[in-house]
Order: sequence, then C-alpha cells, then structure tokens
Amino acid sequence: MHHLLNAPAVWLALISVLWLAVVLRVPALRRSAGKRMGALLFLALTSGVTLTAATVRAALDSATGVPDLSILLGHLAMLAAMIFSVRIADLVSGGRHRALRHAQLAFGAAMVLLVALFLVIPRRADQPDFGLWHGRDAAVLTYQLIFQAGLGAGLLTNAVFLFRHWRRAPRGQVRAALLQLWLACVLGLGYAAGRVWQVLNIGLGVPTLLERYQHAAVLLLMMYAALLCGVAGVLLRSAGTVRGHLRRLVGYRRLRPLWARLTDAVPGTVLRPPPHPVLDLLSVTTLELRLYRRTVEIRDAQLELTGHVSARLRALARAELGDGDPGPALDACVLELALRIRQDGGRPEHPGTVSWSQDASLDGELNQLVELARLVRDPAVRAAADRVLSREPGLSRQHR
Amino acid sequence: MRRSRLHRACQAKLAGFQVPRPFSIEALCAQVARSRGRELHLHPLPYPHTPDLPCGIWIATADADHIVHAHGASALHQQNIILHEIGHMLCDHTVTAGSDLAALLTDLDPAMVRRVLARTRYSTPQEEEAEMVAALIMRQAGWAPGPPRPGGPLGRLSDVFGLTREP
Repeated sequence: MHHLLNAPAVWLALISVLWLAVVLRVPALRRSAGKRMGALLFLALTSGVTLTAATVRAALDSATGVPDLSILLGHLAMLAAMIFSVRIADLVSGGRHRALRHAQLAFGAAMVLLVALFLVIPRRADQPDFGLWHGRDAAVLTYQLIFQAGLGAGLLTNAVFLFRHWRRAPRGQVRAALLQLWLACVLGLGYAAGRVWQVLNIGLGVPTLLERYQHAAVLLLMMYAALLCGVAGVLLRSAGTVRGHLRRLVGYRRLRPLWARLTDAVPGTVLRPPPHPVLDLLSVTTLELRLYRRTVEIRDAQLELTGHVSARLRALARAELGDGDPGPALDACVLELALRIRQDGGRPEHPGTVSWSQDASLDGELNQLVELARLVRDPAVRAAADRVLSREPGLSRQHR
Repeated sequence: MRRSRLHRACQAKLAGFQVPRPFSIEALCAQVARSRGRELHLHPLPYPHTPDLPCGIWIATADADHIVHAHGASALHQQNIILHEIGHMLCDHTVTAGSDLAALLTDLDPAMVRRVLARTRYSTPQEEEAEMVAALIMRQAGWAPGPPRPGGPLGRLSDVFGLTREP
C-alpha cells in the first residue's frame, strides 16, 4: 500500500489535478476579496503539497544550496493556506468574529517561529529531512510540533466553520460540495494528529499502535484522501459543467439526422447552414448556441409540417398507436405522416399541433427531441404511419 | 452573410445589453419596457398556429409595444418566438410600407400602428438578425441555470469556491 501511494504516477495524477484547480482559479485573483482568497488558498495548499515529494525537495534544495529549505517553504505554504482559509471564514461571517482575526495573527507568529527555529536546527545536505535524522533534537521537535499544531488548529477552525454552513445548506450541489470540503478538513485533522504522534514517537519514544512504516502509510493515505475530498468539493461544479457539455455534444450529433430530414423538407426554417462537420465538431465554444438553433429549427419545421396532418389523420394515428396516452410516439407518427404527405406534394392546411413540453431549458428540450428522433426511426411508429395512410382513401397510394 | 459574421454583427448590436437575473421572459419584457420608456404587452394567440400565418408579431403603437405570439411547439420554442420579436425591438428594425404583413393586419388603424414585424421565414436580413439576437439573449441568460445562489453567508461561501453560478 505504501509503495502504491508513493508511486510517481499516483502522486503525479493528484498533483496535476491540484494544479489544474489552481489554474482554473487564476482569473479569480482579479475579482472580489473572497474569490482572491479562495484562489490564494488553493495556490498555497498546492504548493505545500507539491513540496512533500522527495524528488521536488531534492531538486529545490540542490538548486538553492540550502539543506531542507524545501521543507520550510512547504510548511510556510501550508500555514499561509490556513491564514487564507481563516480569512475566508472571516469574510464570509462579515468580520463578526474577533477570534478569527486573532487566529490569523497566531498563524503569522507560528510562521515567524518556524523560520527562527529553522536557522538553529541541525541540517545537512547529505542527510535530507531533519525530522528523520535529528528527530530527538529539541529544536527539531519544537519546530515540528509548532507546525503540526498550527495545521491542526487551522483545519479544526475550518471543519467547525464548514460544518455549520453545511447543516444550513439546502440539499443540492452546494451542500454536497460543503460536505466534501468538511470531510477534507476532518481527514486533514486526522493526518495532523497522526503526524504529532509520529513526531513524539521518533523524538520521545512514545509508543505507536502500528509499525512505523504502517503508520507512515496510513498518514499518506489520509493526506491523499483529504486532498481528493477537497479537490472534489471545489471542482464539483466544474465536473458538472463538463458532463453537461459532453451530454449536449452527444445530443447535438444525435439530432443531426432528424434536423437534416426535417429541414430538407422545410428549408426555410434554417437560419444559416451549420459549418463543415469537422469544424462543427471543433467549435466547442459555440456548441450550445448551435444546439439551441438546431432545436429551434427542428421545432419550426415540426410545427409547419404537422400542418399537413388533419385532425382525422391524427386521430387515426392515435388509434393505431394503441390505448392510453401515446405522447411523443404520436408526435413522431404525425411527423412521419406529414413528411410523406409533403413529399407527395401535399400542402399544409391544418393548425400545427404538437404535444406541449413545459420544460423551457435547453437540456429539457434536447431530451424531448432526442426521444422524438428515436421514435421517428422506431419501426412500430413507421408501421403505424403506413397503416394510417393505407386506411385513408383520399391519400395517394404512394404513401403506403 | 455567413453564420459567424451574422453572429458577430448581432453581438455588436447587443453590446452593453444585460439580461435580468434570474432570467425570465416576464423580467426581460419589464426590463425592455423600462429601457424603451414604453409599455410592452404579450398576447398569446388564442388559436393554434397555422402555416399561412406568422408565429410572432411585434406591433408598435404610439405609446406601447405589443407582441402577439403563437403557442409554439414547446416552452423553449415559444420563448424563442417572443425573443425574436424583442430582437426586432433591440435592433430597431422597421418594416417597409406596403408589405404583405400590413395587408395581413387590415383591421388595425394605420394611424395608430408605427411598426409591424413578424417572425415568418428568415428571408430578410432583419429576420436573420432578430433570430440570432434571440439566440444570443438565451446564451446570456445561461444554457444551464444551475443551482440558485443561496443568500447570506452561505451565498458568499459559494462564491468563494465557485459552487454556484455568479449573480
């Protein structure tokens, strides 16, 4: 398990997602104070996590020539993240809690203490990570306990703050995201507690329940789980946006045959022909606009085409489709009849009647039309249209 | 005009225009009425749409605007019919005298009616513009509204982490 968690691929995947979340929040740096703090929180957290990797640490220490400088910078980044998170809690609460302002000062003081202790603790380039090599040293022990206590206090503050808001949030995306962020804090808190235990075990010989390597593996697992929960909470909406976009892209492609068939019959309903299929697929930014136009053009054509079908033919189609409310199947059958009558030179002479869909959203309309497109191709619907035309003596035999 | 050029031209016409939030046709009509300093009334047609008639008509009288619209094939389609007519207003379109449309509305007093525009086929640049403006208004309103932004501290917290759509 420990080897798996330390695998470069797992770490790289996690760190890539974290940096992606940071990049997505760069524009927020120029917006409100709250959004700026949110972006800085993610930047600080991600920097701190990046500096936990042994390879990154070695590269940074070698480049600067200062042994274990990467550890100090990583810890300062994590405490800065705690300052930003408490600042967010302060902003969200409207600055009513003086304790939150005091907490920010306390984290600042802890950062100064870490820098001061870093200067006196024994460090060597050939013995990276002073916590492992000099764990019994008083300065090292103090340094590590101050950092873990600061991290734990920050996470506890955030856990309490998020829990209060999570309980008040209505069911939905916001509540789910707050729960994930709260879980991240709780897991982070567990990690900090485990690290204190580890430090006391190395420094003072306090016994642990697990072997050292097992303890380290559990801590690593908790850290990864905390980070994944945090990222999932913050990226929940982005993930929803991507999922919605993909669903619309698939729907847009699936509507093409129906759109092509209807607009071939009623060309005047097309505002402008869509671009070449390849360009059409690549124009990601205008997908929704093109999908909207496709749905409107289908509906315009449907309304005009159904004018070819009299109330009598409609009633026959309804009867052919069986008992109960045939709903979309009736629309599909009427559309099929209309297309055949128009192809034979018929003229629209009746009021266009279509089952009304109350959903005014693009996604709701897409669902309705994808279902209509499926039913128009349905052999049972086509057979019903055949039977209606065969029973109507006034219509040409070509329709049969 | 190519679709992309039509798109850009209509975007330029909508420069500075902001849709109301939360978006609804009623809120948009109220906003347009305020900005034009004239009342705007919606009149649904009491009978189903027939192929020989336009599905939406904008009639401008001396002191008010009237949009007469068909039932449409769905709520979204009906909304587009109304937005098309609002598109004519925002683009300040006019109809040429003696058009087929004027002949269609023979019961209206010509002295009362200043402008009449209808949504039929996209046979003229004005109709194309109005249709594209309708689509661009919908885009500005948002394709997927997402969860509503809560108020108070929870709303501020949602804004910080981008959990809801920005107001």
